[in-house]
Amino acid sequence: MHHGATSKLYCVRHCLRLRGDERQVMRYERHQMLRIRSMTCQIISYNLSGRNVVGQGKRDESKVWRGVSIPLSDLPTFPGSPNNHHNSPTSHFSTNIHIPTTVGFLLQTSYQTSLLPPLLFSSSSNLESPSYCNPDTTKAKESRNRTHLCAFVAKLSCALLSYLARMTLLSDIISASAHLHSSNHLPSDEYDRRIRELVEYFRRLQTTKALESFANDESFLDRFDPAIDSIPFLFVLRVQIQKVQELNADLYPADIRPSGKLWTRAAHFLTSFDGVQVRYAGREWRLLVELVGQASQAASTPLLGATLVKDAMLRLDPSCAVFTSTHLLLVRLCLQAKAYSCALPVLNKRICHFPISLGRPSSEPSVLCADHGSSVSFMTEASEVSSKISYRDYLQYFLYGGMVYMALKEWRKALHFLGIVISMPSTSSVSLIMVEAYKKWVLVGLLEKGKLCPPPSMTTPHVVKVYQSLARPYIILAHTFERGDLKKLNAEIDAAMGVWSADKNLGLVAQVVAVFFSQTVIKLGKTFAALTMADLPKQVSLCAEVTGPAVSSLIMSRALNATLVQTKDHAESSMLRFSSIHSLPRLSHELDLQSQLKQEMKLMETLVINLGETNNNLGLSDEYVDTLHKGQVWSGSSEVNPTGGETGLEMDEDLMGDMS
Amino acid sequence: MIDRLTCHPPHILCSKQHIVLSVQIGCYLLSLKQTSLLFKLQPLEIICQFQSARNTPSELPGKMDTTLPDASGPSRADMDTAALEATAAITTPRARVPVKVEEPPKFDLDTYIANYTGRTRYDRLYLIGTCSPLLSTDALKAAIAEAKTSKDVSRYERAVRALADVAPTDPDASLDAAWVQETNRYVQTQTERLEHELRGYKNNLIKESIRMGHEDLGNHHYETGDLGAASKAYSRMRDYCTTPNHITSMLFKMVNVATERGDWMSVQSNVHRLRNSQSKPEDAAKNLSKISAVSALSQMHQGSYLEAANSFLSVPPDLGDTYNEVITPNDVAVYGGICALASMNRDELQKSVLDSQTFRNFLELEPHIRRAIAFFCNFKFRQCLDILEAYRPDYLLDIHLQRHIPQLYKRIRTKSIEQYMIPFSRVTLDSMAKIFAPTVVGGEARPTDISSPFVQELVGLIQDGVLNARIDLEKGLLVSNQIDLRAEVQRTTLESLREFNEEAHLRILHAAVLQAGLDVKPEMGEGPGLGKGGRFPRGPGRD
Repeated sequence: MHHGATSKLYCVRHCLRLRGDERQVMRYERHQMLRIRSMTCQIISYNLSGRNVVGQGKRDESKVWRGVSIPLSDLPTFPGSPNNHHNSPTSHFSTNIHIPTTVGFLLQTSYQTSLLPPLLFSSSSNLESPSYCNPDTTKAKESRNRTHLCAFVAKLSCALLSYLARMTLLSDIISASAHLHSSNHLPSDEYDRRIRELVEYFRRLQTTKALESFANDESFLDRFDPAIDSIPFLFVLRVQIQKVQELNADLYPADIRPSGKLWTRAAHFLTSFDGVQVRYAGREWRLLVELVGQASQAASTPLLGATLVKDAMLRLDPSCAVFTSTHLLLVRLCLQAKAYSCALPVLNKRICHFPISLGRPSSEPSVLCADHGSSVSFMTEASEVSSKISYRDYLQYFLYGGMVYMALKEWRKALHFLGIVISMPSTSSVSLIMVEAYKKWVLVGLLEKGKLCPPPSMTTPHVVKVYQSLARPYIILAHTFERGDLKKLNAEIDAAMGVWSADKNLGLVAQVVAVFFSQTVIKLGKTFAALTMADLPKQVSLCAEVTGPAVSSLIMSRALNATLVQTKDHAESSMLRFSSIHSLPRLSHELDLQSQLKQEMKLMETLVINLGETNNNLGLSDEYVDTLHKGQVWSGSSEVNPTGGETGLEMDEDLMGDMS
Repeated sequence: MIDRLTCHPPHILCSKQHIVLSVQIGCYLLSLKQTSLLFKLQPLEIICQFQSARNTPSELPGKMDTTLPDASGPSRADMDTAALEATAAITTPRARVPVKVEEPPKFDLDTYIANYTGRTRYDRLYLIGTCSPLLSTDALKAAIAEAKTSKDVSRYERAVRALADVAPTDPDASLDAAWVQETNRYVQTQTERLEHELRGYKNNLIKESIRMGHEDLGNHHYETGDLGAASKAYSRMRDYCTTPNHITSMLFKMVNVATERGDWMSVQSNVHRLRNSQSKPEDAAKNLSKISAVSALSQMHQGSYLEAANSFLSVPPDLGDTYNEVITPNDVAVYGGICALASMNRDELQKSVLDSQTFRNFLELEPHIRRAIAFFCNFKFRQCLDILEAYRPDYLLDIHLQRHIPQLYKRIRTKSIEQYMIPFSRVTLDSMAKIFAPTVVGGEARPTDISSPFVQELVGLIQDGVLNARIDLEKGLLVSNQIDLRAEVQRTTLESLREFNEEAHLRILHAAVLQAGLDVKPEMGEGPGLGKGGRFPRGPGRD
């Protein structure tokens, strides 16, 4: 079924020898471009309708000669898929020839020989042959035609040569990738070896510029299904994109922008590639994803990029537990597109790791394709799935993530994300990103819990001091909120209006005021079972006209679990009766709770897995081994050997204490 | 020494700096060990040097006090006086809001004051005189008479000034200049004489004489009202005390001075010392009642009413009239009863107050307190509160109780509302108001309106979390909250799960950040690439 590279080359050579023309010399080199010494080469032509080729060529002369300028990609496509060769010759060609001319050029391959006995002709010497010349033409015209034809054939053969070379390379690629397919059932280490070879092969092709020949071949990518042949597809796509970028001297030419030709290719790839194969070509994958993101930004349609980036990330690493630079790209795109829920599938996954340099350089590379429990084992620094990360990247990611949740009014999750930012370990200095996050933390804390939340317990004390001095207006605002005086709150907000707008927190502050009222009313529900609407404003410190509608809207939006009762005596205002705590609709509430519990359980399970992974990584880290070693040396020097083991254990605990 | 060493690593190895430090210490101790071998020094001395070299004394086990008594340096007495002065400086300038008690108290001034002896008589009389318009003239006149018998000029002047404000025409309201001059001169010469004598004793180096010299000087200062100097003189006695009896008497004197100064911290510490003093069993038993009474008093003044109540309840009944210069058995009954009412629940009151054999003796002196507690235990809150209200003027004129009465009464009231609510699931506000706010019921048209003070009080209680109930203003009910246990459990489970997950995630991330060397650090121009270097800050410490 499969044609190995060698057998195919042999067939080509064999076919050339059929003519017995000694001037044709071809040299093949495996894995490299063919080098042709002689300018002439056998051209194998086939007439679709079975009529004389040259006659047709002459009759449609101008077309043929114009055909010289036909780009290579317009030449008859190589019937690459093996399942075609049982078809009838005619249907075979009718499916594969795209050009408007009747002349087709066909590379002779073994199976084609067997099915289509080709008409062999051409080469400059054979042009005199009567079968190729139309007797009707005049001598002069004939000679002119001949020179034209000679030039045409020379050009054609040149084109064909490169075509031939490409076809050879293509067949190589196909066979290499087919080689991989056949090893799907192999043990993972064998598969690992093969796929590494394949990637190596492509990297070499890339450095020798061999893939350049496909740069303009639109049809090439049609041959590959990104779900099966992810690696060839990815590499060639990259080359094509680079070519287009070079040609247009523009980072994001029209082809790459959304709805461009290459964009659709990239989109096709990113939504259907094979995750395991791409693990081996992390760098190329990342460059493609970044390009897609940036191109969509450049075309000011970030939403298109965001969905693609999100799909690609989830495809490569369904757990998304390792932070990469693409995470940041994604949230940034989503924020720009205001498509907040688009980022949720990634944001909802808990990030627990950073790409780390696994092990010492001497150690064996791990088997990437194996079925790992956690993605941290294949998302390493070496795989270059992520570009170099600095602390700013992850701080920004969590801040942006928090902002996404804020936009969706999921305050609790937003609070968690902001909490991550403000509690990050820092040595002696504070990042301004953290200060920004603290400001938002204060406001979101008011919105979610109605009080000033203290920073997470892990926050370093000196950082807390810095926050308190830099975010003073926010803390004052929170204190006023807690004291529960609306007038003072409004005054406080007006006084620091410049601060809010400079920090771009005006929207949050406005929501704080809205929440203040509902919080106060809900709090009243804990004190009163029922009270008249006339009494309400005294408790809330609001004017009576505003209170009525506000309370009704609260009840209607189900933020407040209460009813308004009209008293018989119409002179009196209506009665606000707070529902008692346990009169909630039982069943749906229970179901809701159950699903929430399940969700948290699942989350905890993933956390436990990740915890094990972290533990493992820490145990393998240089630092741990080093301290362990030092501990042993130290206990040895103090001349008390029996305690040596214990000292080691204590060092272990200290290390963990440091880490947490 | 080596043994001591090996037990240290767990403490020392807490952090990175400490590891480096511990290596240094290791070297240091090795060298010390050689020195000790060479010079045959005592190990403890080495530890001592070592400690001063490390400059962190707390790291070593706290045996220094017992093993090296001489290491504590200058005498403790000096430090104590310094501390005492410091605390006194904080507590004395207390700006009291003048309390005016218009209602007539139930007691008779003469019999009341006859219960007391010593300087407290003047203090109490002066307080009554300034606070109660009804008794002011009598009380202040008695106070002036009291002051004139003593040698305290400032007190006399103060009392005369106060009387001049109340009754300018009274003959006692003008200063007796001759007496003042004479007393001042006497005090001055006496002080000089005593100080001279003390110097003489000190030259002779006889401990007992020096002690007595200090004591005389202290007594003199105390009588003339120079309390600071008195306590200083008393505390100097310490170094010259030879028998436990001397120590106890000195400590009692200091307690008395501190009580008058209102320096309750010092009272507390002296009481502590009294408890620990090794006097003879019969003396100890005799002193116990005084000690526990005064310690209870200081606890009450510090606002810890439950402890004060327990201490008052444990005062032995043989206190009698032995401690009249500070507290009488009647006072013990009143203070103890009110503190207990304010801080204990019904069961505790029944068990440890009403059924207490020892405290019964005190309660018999003040039967109304006993009645109030009994009413409280029997759910008759109205009667209990009525009794307390009736005696409020008396207590407001008490020198110790005055400051605490509003606070204590408020607590009792809150507690009775709380206790009242316990058996009900819903109570009408009217019935509650009848018990707890009879004046409101009588005086206002709508006693259960939201703006009535009683309802506002309830609102305050609910918001403070004292009452677990809600007010239904439509039906005029107070409804106690029914907790749906199932929902509550579900809610707390979910909440704790969430909190755990969030915290776990935070900690895992922290570990990951530190492992990847990505913690937030200042830009040093090297960029973030220095991960490895940052991760090995203790490189030089390696061997």
